Amino acid sequence: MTTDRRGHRARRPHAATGARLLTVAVSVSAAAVMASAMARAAAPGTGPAPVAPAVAVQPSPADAPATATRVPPPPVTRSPAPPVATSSAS
Amino acid sequence: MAAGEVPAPLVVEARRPAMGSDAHMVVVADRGRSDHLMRVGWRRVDDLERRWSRFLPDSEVSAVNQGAGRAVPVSADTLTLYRRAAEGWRGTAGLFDPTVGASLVAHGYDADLSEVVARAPEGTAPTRPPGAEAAGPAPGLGCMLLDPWLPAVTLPAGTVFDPGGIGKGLAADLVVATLLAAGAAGALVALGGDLRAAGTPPTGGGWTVAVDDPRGPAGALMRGAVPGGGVATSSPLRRRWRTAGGEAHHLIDPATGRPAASAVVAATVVAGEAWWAEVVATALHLSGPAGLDGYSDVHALVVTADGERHATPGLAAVLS
Repeated sequence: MTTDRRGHRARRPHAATGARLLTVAVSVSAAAVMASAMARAAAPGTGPAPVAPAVAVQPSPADAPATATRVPPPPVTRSPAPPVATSSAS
Repeated sequence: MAAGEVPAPLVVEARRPAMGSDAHMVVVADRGRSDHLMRVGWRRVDDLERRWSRFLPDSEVSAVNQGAGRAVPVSADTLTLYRRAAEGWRGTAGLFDPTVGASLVAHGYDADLSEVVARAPEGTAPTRPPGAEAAGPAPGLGCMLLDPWLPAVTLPAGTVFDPGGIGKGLAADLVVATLLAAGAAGALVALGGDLRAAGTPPTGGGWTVAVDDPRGPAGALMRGAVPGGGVATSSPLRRRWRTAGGEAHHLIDPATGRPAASAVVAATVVAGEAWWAEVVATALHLSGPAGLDGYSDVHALVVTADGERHATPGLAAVLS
């Protein structure tokens, strides 16, 4: 053990520096993981299977406006031709 | 045929059972391609049935139902099924709710309908389905998770998704799209009450479609021609079976978990796509004629038990 002239245990600058380096390394790693995930999310279909957040359906149907764009209904006209097909109730 | 004259497209059609109902396919195509296209179409129908039937234990829908909160990988078609179901649920404020599956099972509809009906033929005393009294409100799709990347679907434990009508409607949409992409000039696919037509019709006046009147063996509620689109008819008078508690039918009220007690005997909807037509037809069965004003993107006809017909302006001209 290292002691100073008064017998106190000396501070270990190496340990403090190491801790700071470890913190920086963890931060850099987290940032890299996040950047990688964001890059995969921005370019779906590339790279390995991503771990992307699932999309939750809105919790209540009453909360959601029915604003989806849908194919407009076709005009229905009288026709003398025999039916091509029949819609039977189900 | 004179030299240089283009041969007229050939119209071929076929019928067979599929998805627990009668299926009908019409293809307009060049001569020489029609047989191939019919095979392509039926293969697509069979593939979707294998993925979506809740009566097949190894279907993707069965796997999701058994997932109990676990993300279950599915095909792109099946993800589309759940997406459309969520759109339908939201777009009808929950009147269309495919999570009535547990109620259907509790009331005895736990197998192909022909098998369910055969359990209690006329003249016999049907047994009470286990759990009929316990059937409660449908849980809804609020807790469903859709992962578009894998893709995968997660449903909470106890939620039983019944593809029922929306599966047939969406299947008709997808099969017609496949046929057109494979080279058909026009195609129509009808699965049970759900029908989709697109492309060049067999005759110049459009795709002429009749709608059966479920109240009688003959007659049509309406007949009209469309340039393309989806048609669906929903009725509690079809898909019925006997139970000790009385006759049951497949249109479950999600608020109670029991076969809906509605004055509507038939709801027919014409829309741009068959899946949406089916969703709105189911919702109109519960809401009755009062719901007709709620959907600006369909034409609809609602027939009540007193024989009254209530139609949106787009269908008034073609009612029989």
